[in-house]
Amino acid sequence: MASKIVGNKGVYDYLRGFRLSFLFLTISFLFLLFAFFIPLAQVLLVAFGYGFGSYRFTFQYMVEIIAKRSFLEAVVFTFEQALWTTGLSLIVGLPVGYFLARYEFPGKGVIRDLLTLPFILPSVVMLLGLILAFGPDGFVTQASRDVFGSPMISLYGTKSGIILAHTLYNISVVIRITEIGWGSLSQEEEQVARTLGASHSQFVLKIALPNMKGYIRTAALLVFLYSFNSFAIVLALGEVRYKTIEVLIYESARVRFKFHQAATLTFYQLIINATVIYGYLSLSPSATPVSGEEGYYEKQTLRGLVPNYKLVIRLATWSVYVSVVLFASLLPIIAVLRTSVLIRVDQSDVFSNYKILFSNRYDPLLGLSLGQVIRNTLFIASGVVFLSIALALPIARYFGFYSNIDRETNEQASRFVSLGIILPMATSPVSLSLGLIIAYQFSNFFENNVVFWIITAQTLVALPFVYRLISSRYEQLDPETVRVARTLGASSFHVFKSIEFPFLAKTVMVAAVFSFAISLGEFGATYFFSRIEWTTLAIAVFKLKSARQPGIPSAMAVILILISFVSFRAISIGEETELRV
Amino acid sequence: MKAKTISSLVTISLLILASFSLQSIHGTNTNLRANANDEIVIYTYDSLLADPGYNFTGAFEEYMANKGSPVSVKLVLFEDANTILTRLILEKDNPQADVVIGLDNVLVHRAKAEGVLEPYISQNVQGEIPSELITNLDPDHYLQPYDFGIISFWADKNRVGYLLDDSQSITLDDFRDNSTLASLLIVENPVFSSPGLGFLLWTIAVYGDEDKGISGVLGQGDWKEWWKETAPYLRIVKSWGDAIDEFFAEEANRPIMISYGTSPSYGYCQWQDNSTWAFVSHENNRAYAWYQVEGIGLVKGASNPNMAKEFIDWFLSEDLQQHIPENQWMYPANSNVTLPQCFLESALHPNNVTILNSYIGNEAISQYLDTWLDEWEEVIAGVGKQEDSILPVLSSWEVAIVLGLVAFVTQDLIRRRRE
Repeated sequence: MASKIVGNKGVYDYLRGFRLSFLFLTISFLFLLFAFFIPLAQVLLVAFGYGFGSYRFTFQYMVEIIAKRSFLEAVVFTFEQALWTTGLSLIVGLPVGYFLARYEFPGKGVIRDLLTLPFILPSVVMLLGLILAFGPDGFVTQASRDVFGSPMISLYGTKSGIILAHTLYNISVVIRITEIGWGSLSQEEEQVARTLGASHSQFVLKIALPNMKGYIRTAALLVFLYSFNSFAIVLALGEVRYKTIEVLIYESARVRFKFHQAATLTFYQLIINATVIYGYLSLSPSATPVSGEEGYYEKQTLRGLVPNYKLVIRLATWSVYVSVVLFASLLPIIAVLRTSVLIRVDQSDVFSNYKILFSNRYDPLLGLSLGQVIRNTLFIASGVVFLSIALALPIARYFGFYSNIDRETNEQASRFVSLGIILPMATSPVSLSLGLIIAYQFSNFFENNVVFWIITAQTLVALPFVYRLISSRYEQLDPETVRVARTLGASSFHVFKSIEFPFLAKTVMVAAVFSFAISLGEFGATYFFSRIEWTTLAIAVFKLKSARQPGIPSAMAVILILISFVSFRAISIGEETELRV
Repeated sequence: MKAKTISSLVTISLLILASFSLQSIHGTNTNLRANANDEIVIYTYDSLLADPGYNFTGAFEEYMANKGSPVSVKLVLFEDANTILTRLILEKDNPQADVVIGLDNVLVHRAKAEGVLEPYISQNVQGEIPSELITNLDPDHYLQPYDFGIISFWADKNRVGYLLDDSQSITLDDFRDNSTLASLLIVENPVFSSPGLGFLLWTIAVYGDEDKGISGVLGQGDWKEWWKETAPYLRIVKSWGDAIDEFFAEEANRPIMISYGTSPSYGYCQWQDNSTWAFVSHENNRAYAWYQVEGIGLVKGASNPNMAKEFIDWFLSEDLQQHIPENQWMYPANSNVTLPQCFLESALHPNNVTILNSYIGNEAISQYLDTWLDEWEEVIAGVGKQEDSILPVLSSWEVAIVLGLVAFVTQDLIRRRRE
């Protein structure tokens, strides 16, 4: 047995030696238990008829809902738009990924960052940008009206509006993942293929694309899951006709107060999500990891190339294509920036919209002052940062690191735990909140401390990411160092303080920034709980999106963009870890 | 950076964050609700007295200051009346508002059932508010009427002037049988909007609902048929505000919307503009319409009930009521207010039509409202959609893409199995 060879500590020694760390570990598990597993179990109970006045199990609600047109339409639409989005994003994004992987040119880093920007934006920012660009009064709509005599697209109440929104959002995901895929292809293979007489397109279709199937699948899965569970965009644009299951859950619970129906919907949504993820995993048992080695493909630079007719055409085509994609993905951001300085409260001051955000001006549409919105947002975000790190750290420490050193938990237990902490990720934000509400809404504590529940729900959203970051860093820590330190008599706390923490500090900082950004942009769960007095920036942007004065929500959106961008940069500087699971 | 610098940096930033959180707790007013005797919180919709606009909160503050007990009013605006009610229900156990303005004779049933209101009778306006309004809104006084009118179609002469004469005999059947006509109409979603709900009840009152023992004006028994056939052509928006935006947006080409019999006065009183007109449906050659009475009420558990009552009294007095016609564009509830001439010339008065409300009755409304909304949603979800985009052209592609994906997955699975 391995435990005999490496250290001799049993559980008992652990309890004695690491009392404090066990306390933290217990707190983390209790949090997950009470904030996630119990509420989830409650949702399932309610879905099967147990709760809200009836105390017997029945399949009635499960069966009833299948017969409902509104449910069927929502399911069909949810799949339909998700498939469309996945297909379109792949078609548009794949070539850009290829371009970025193959060509080297000055300013490439900036272009890559800009192309990735939409993917890290909060959905409400994307939504506002789309409304300002493609809405009835949007500048793209006006331009297209001047040129073609009719608006390019009608954003509200149409499938195409929603698919456009989701696609613009997700092209960047495809670009980011497939760039790595294209880069991981073997140059030798291409050379062999070319020598044997394959044309370039033959190579791409027969060798390159099949070889990067894993990457394409990963990208497709992410895009699909994102649009399948989309909330803010569909809630705002779908109107009465188009609803995702997520929107239907929200409306059942928060507008119509039909908790049985909402729970049943959540049940079905969970099943579909799980099936998609499971199907993906079983389809590709050896799925290529997203973070493959990059760049052993020699990149083409402009230097030293003899300009000829063919080359010029090729480069021109590429630059036009990439510019169009770049422009399209940046349109919402441009729209928001433009509006935030052009449509101002005070004509004489370009930054008046921004200044007013930090003032105490009362906004009756929000029901509180703008400065209070900022204060709320920061308060909730700092709570989420604190909680998610405090909860993820002990679990990552024990199961990502000490379990390996002491070999006392077997691998299965460890896998079980990481599944448990990542499971909230497969549960949509609205479902997470539904669980919390069903489990705790009748308690006084709930009524009086809504902000606590907002923070809890957002922490559940952020936790899997933070956990992944920290545990993957822990895995890089050399167990020998810790072992030696402990042999030399260092206490657990001392080891943590002088070995682990300095090693982790950078990652913890990155995780903090990341969870801060998640909290700031989080919409679904926050909207579900939203109370006027706890309005956050994201909620305010959503509420004011079609107000007569679009300057103020735009300025709020710009702040969200800046913070998202800064945190994104911090992550890519700080760690090479891939954030997607 | 050295590991040590980084770790101290992290520690410092965590400390800053923590101190900031503590500071926020202090700085944050975790309650919206008034905690002093000189403050009240009012929930209403964003178009109350809004156009061209009468600053009623300012006027009340001034009125109270003159009375010697200064107060500050905190106004919270919502998109539509149903949203206000939803909010009140969500906050039932911890009410934030003192006064709610804008629930009507339909929503009042749900508000009473949920127990979010407290009955109150303003003594100062006894006799000034017609009893007919009170019976129609709520005989139990959970809400008191502040304005009334009928729900009606509202249309633009410049774009559909050719309908002007026909509209004097138009029926709901005409909208159903003539898809061109239905394609001009904007309707509000009854789940969110009170005029939208009024219009849904209008169709129920006209066609009836056999299952629930409502025969309706026409005695046909199924209102759902009308929606089933009309809905593919209708534009259904979330709120009255959304509807009016689209009504005035020329290229949307929807020059008829569900609004109020008083809506034409808006242009006429302000700019002598009579380019819009209101009309109702004429089943069996009689004009029918849904009657709406809007009410103001005291929130149950209000933190400042005395000041809330002051406000309600003032809101129903002539002082405020005189501003209703030309800012709210509805008939004021207080009968002492003299209506402006332009209003009389352009608005459709409830007395000129047969009121549909009695065809359904209050009891049925409180019993079936939720079911009707469910049924309406089912009907709307099931109807074919008239997309105005390129997608229908591509829908055969859609099938192709799905088939392609299925083929790909199957082929992949088979291949893997073989390997």
